[in-house]
Amino acid sequence: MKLSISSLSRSRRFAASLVLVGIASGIAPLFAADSPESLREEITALQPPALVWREIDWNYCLLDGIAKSREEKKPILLWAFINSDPAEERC
Amino acid sequence: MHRPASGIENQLLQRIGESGPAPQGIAVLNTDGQVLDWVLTFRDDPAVIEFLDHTLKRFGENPDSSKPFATERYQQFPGQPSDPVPAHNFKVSDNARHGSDDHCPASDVYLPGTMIARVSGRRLNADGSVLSGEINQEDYSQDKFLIEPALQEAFATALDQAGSGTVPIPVEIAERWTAYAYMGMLDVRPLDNPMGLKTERKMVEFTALADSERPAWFRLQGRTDVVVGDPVKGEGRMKMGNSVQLEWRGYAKLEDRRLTSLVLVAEGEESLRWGAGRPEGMNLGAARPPEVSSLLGGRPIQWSGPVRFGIIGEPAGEEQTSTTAGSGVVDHHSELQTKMPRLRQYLQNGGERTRQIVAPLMPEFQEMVRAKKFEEASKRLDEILKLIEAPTDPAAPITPK
Repeated sequence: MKLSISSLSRSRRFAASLVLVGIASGIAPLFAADSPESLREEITALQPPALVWREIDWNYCLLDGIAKSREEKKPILLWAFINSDPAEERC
Repeated sequence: MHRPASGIENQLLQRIGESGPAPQGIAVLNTDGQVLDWVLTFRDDPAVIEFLDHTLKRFGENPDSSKPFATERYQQFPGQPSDPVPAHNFKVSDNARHGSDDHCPASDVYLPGTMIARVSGRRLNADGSVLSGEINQEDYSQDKFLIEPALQEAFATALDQAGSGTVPIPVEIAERWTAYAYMGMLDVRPLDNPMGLKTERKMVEFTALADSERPAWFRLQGRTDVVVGDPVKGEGRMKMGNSVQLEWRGYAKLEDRRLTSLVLVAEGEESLRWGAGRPEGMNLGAARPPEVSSLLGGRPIQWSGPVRFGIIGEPAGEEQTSTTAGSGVVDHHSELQTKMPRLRQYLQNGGERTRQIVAPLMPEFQEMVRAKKFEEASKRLDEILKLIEAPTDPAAPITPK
């Protein structure tokens, strides 16, 4: 079925004209309601509220870990990753 | 752990690493940093607890370096031990701390003005809701990348042209965030692939428009389509591939030619394959091996479906920055990323002479990058650029366009 703007209802015609304006201005109207704050909220919603392993107070510095181990007389659990660049976040 | 470096922590890490049965793994140390046990995988979930109990007992017997003992090593605990080796005797004094000339290898130090961007990624259900599960990187991913001051300056220069209309965002900037929006492990990064796999940038197109309602803010939108390896058949020994197609929207705030805020959301489709690969449904059920038994190299992954990513970038805090060049790996990596567009420009515009200069030098340079020898690679790139820029005919110097 062919569809033209004239065959749509008034509200749909208005929406369709917004789409055309959006395309002409280079910004998709779908994004018109966005703000930096609303996008931050969307991103925060992607993050899990609580992760068990995050509740552990991991030490990144082994010297600090050794000092704490001596103080608390407890062993150290060391995770060694293959990444040669310690700045990499993924493994 | 496996990088040659100076400093007391690096020396200790290297001694610890020497006894490891593989470059990665889990170790339990005593109060002097000696390795009691190394383990790579576990028979099943209960074996993890058994291992921790076992090492606690060993810690009771060898809490420090007062007497020699052997480091136990397990390919899999229990049941698959390797030969034990004598525990190292590198002693760390009680007052050992990092100093100004002994950079902690675990702390990131950035050039002042660097933006740190954090990425969150989720797989979606068909209805657009977030798929549950936060344990595996193919379900929930977190990542981080940097936008150095030099790249921000290039961004600012592009936006200078914005006026009241849209302007294209330079591809070297857009590629930075495109490279990090993917699910799965580091190996399947679809651009700047750390395994050195061939990547294809089918589309990386972004535009910016000054936001009339928010001074200093620019609205961003874009479309990307990038591929590494072969997501259907799998490429290389590990049979890997990843293709990611995304629609992007977001905002960037620019003040005094520095990016002070970046917010991006991307949605689209991803097809990921890693390992022998099998349909996702076959990963479920009683026949599925325990995940703790395949920690090395991971388990097979193969899926296609909708994904959503979010990126929030903020300037590094003062406590994270240093003007000391080369204070850490991050600086060399960033340095290299900043210089690469210059080389690309020369290759695109420099003609046959440039290609003749570069071609024989590239394999060694690429090998350095692949091996993550960023400092070496950065110096080599300087040499290559110097060769290109040295004019053979003073009347016709080669300059990037």
